[in-house]
Amino acid sequence: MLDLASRRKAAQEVWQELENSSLPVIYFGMASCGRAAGAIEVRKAVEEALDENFLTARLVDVGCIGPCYLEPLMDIALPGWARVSYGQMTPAKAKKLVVAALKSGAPPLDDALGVLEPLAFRQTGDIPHLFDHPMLKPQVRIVLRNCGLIDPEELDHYLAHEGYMGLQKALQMSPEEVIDQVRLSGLRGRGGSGFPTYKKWEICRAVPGEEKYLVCNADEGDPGAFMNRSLIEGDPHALLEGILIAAYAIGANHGVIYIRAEYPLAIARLRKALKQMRENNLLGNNILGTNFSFEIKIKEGAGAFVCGEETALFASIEGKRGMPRSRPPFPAVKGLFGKPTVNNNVETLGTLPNILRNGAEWYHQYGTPTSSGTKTYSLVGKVRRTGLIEVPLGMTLRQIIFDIGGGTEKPFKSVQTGGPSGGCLSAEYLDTPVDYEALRAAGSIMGSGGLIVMDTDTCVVDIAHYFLEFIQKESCGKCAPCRIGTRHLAETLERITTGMAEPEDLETLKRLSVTIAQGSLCGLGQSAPNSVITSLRSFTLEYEAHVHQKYCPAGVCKNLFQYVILPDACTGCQACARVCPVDAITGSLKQPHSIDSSICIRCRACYEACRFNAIEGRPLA
Amino acid sequence: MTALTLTINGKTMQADRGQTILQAAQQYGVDIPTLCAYKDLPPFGGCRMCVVEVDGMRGFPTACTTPVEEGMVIRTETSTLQSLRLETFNMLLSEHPLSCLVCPENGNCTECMMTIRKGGVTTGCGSCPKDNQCELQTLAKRLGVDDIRLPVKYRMYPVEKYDPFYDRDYNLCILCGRCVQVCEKLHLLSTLTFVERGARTVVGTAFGRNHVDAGCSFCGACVDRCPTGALTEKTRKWEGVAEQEFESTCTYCAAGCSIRLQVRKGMVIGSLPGNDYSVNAGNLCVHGRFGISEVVNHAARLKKPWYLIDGRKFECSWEEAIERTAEKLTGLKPGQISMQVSANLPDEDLYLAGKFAHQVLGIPQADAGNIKHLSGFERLIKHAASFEQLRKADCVLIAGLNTHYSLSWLEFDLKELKRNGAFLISIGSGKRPLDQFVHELIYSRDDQAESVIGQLVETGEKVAIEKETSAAVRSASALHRSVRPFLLIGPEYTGNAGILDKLALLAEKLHAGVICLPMRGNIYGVLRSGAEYSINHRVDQPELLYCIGEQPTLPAAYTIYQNAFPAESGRVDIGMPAALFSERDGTFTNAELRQRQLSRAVDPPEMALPDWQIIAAIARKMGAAGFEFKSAAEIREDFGNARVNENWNPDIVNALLALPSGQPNEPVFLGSPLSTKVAGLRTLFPSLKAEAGER
Repeated sequence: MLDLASRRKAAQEVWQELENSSLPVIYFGMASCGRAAGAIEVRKAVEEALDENFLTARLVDVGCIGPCYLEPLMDIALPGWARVSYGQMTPAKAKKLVVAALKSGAPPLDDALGVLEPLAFRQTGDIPHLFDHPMLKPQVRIVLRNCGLIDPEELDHYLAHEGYMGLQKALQMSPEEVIDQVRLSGLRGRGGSGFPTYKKWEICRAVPGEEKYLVCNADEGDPGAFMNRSLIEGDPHALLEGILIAAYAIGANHGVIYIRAEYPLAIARLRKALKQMRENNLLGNNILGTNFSFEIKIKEGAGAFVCGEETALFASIEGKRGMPRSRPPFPAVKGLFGKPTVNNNVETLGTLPNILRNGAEWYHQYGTPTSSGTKTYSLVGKVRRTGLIEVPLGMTLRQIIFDIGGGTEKPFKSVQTGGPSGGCLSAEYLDTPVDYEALRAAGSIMGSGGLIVMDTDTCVVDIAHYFLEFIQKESCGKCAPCRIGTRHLAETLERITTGMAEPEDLETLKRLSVTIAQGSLCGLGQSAPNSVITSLRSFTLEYEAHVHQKYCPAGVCKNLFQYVILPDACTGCQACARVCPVDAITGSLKQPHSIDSSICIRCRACYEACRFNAIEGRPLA
Repeated sequence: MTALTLTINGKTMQADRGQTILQAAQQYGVDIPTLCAYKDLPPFGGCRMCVVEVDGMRGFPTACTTPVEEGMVIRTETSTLQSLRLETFNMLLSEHPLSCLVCPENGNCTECMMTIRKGGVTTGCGSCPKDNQCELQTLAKRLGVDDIRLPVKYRMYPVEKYDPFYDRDYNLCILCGRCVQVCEKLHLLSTLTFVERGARTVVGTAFGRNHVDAGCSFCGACVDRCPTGALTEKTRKWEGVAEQEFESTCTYCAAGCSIRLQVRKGMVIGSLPGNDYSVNAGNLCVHGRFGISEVVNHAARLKKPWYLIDGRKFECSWEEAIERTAEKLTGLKPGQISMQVSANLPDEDLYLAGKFAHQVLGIPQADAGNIKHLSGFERLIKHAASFEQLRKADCVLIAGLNTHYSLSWLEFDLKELKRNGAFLISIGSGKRPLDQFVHELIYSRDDQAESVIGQLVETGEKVAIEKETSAAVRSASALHRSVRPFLLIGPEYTGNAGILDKLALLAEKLHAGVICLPMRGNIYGVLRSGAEYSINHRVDQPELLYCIGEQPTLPAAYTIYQNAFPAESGRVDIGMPAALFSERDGTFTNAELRQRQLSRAVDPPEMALPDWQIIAAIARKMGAAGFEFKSAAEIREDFGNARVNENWNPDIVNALLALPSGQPNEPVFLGSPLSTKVAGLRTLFPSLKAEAGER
């Protein structure tokens, strides 16, 4: 049996030793996002630089702290100095920075983003805390508290940051008391539907049966969503601790993490973490010396979007084709392998250790009375500061998009919440608080937390078409409205975006949407037409322009507009002519240019090259 | 079962807990439209036709999947539901050739333009083999579809015609999933699944293999359940709707499955599983499902009697044929005559053939004093049990049985047995679907099987099971411990006297129930009727050979041939056309030793007659008394009075069981393998051979 208190003490020493290291420590944001942005090359360059200059430093890989637009991130902690963060690293920049810092003994401060703990008795160079950065300041980091700060592959780091304290507390309570804590905290399912977490648990706990399952849904399939991946890659033990707490509460003896095979790094980190848990009596028989025994398996999904639907997910785990089935019976009564099952999202489970550790009341102080706590979002699209954020529920869309995201370059047009099944909300909804009820009332959904921001350069019909294409390809094909209806919907939208639409197609869209929403078997179909319904409501004029005038006001649908150069605004700088791949632009230097529409392929290169806003999309003659 | 009270459309009704809304509604005659629900399949919920409104439930739940609850208030026909159904149905139709459904000229067209049928590709109901049998047509009428407001999205799949027995046109498929579900339910290796996603979802096999390679057993259960023209039986696709149905029995193997013969215009157009569930429980194997109409309607059927003079064939009347036969038979001594009778004949004919042999031709019955021992087969018969008993067994030894094609319906029973906790042991050679499924698998070449089974007999229950204990010892222990052991013996071993002896020993030691299934139709009838000695009365160089349903394999001076099909080789001096089991009444004794009924569904072709009538006529012509039968029932009465021979000659029994030709799993019918008559079987059985060779 493991004495967790002494184990934690040892872990704290390990962490202290790293913080007070006599050697410089360099941290790299090595989650998938950082790697995609070039973190591996940056780290390699730093290693080379250290070698070349006979310098030594400790290199530590951490997860992602959130601001994607600043990737790759690198922190330098010199003895006597606070940890200083730098963004948008390139191998060359990183080399220079590290050499300069290590040689001089002080980090260069010009490019620094901010400093991180520990600050006490250390120099900060008077630069602000990283969490005072405009993107991070309004955030409340509960689930993501360790992401980007600790090494996710070190159990010691997690333990040193109050890791497994939530579990310890839970194991001292009865399962009913744990459920009660979760009830008091007001935690609702973070996978999208917002069903009170404790209710599912209660039902499942009440169902008689020796064998019960806890399934963690890590099949994050929405395009542009990466909350779960970031959490697992940055702090896998937070999820695993949450799984143990939930399993203890419902009386489950088997756990399955269903995770997309497209997340190899997350899977590798989970496997490593599971091994560490096993070595430390946090998994297996008689966990931490109690009567609670539990096993966790990882099941890699093959990438079907519909497998995020819980009954399809169970089918997939059982080795069957991932197809949803009708409810009732609900999974809490009859789920995986026909046994009572609770299926919770990664974020829901990742929140649990914090609730148990700090108490339900503490958690309930965040958010709104009905939607308590925080929610992570992936803020992407035409927003200035993209990234992974965590904010209290009830914050308005405006605060999220403009305060945290820094707004859009071109005027704001719409935001899609909740992934492909969500709705497009126009500017008039910007003051909607982001909680479950308000979003549903606005015709959209919380979903797992995707926020895709669009500006006036985005065509909502085109976006709706994109999402419907996605959904119709990802429909499992079981029920007719989803399989056939979404195809008709996507094809009608295609007709509209290519100028082949008839006036009655707008009616067809509405009719199909109603049938699909009412008639489909599972959530995928029922929410499939959301983007059409909401965009049709808020942007009727834009749809009508496409259908009646054959004109795409956003200048996206290639058949439905032409580029013209405004003679008054054109300075004749020839920037547009230089980038035109088909030589459609003519005009001599310092004279207004013109575009030959018959040659133009509407590639948008000139539009983006022009610095004087002299190029505009206009209706076809 | 607790009774619950619920309200459907304002009426209070009772339902049992565990029932679905659909089942409850159907009990009270409330019509809720469905396309994917099917009586013996689990609810699917894909077609969305049975949506209903339930107070307190979100959205529109499907009646087929939603269990009833106390006090439920259900509405099945609100205007929202009606329009939702119509819209969804419109979507289904937008992928399905629908022109005829919504065509105002539909009525005239059916009357006047019958010739447009039989197109290679189905473009509308008029050219669809399932016209008037299609559930979409019924539903279109019920929902009042007059036009669809969606663009037509024909899917352009090529029609799949390259597998035997049924064609697949997935352009007509509505993805109700019945075929996929029934395949999974009935078979160990389910062949069908959904492939692709989204709008491209289609029913198919893994890796797009053809059905033969994908392991299909061609039981036809999917075809029977298809609501549209997507799956159609090749031979009957243009025969239309059956006018009459006759319950009868399949006579191809010793199981004696219940079948339903479908008849239209005096012709058997198909055979479906019968309503008697005691043997085959509503399922058939490829032979009974697809092998019957092709055999009974075979173009080579003999239709008129004839005789041969100087190598020239003369068709003649029955009187003349009978007279010539009687004349030839009269005066010959038993040692000059070889009489060979097929084990495919019904009981009455076998009995009469035996009686004819003893009483008219004077062929002696087996002498009890000369017989030293009973054959293993006869000893096994003493343990014969029913399929119902098999379903209650707790440990089953499956010996020499490959359920891939023949008897594929047994797979469902075996699956149920396993689910109910029975221990299954399989012994045999070659790859088979059972391999992955049974608890213990004992591979053995046929020449080793005897000793392995011997080991099962000798090993007792008190054997210590260790890690390295062999499968045979573990199996023996399970068999000896079991309370209701059962031996299920397949055609691979039924022809092997040595193996049958050992199996008989095992059955006797365990007091096990036995079902022994040789691929020779009425072999039990042969033994029961006491006719076996005469039936295979072999004389090496006979003066005269009289074949009833058998091939003339012996060289004889004169050959009398009585069969439904022409002789494959050899000279026939007198030929007489016989009726088949679908053209006469009678009984058939199956492996449970039960008499199964045959029924006369159609008339025999032209002059053909049942064998008993021919035999009786010859006997009467020869002046014998006791052959004045007017019906098969009268023979059965006579049969009941007769002494049944208890003393069978083991050599003859073994000779009867040994198959003359064909694959061990392929029935031999009237002297030749069934595949000589049923074209599709020829593509199946070579693959069986190849499979066996692979190991």
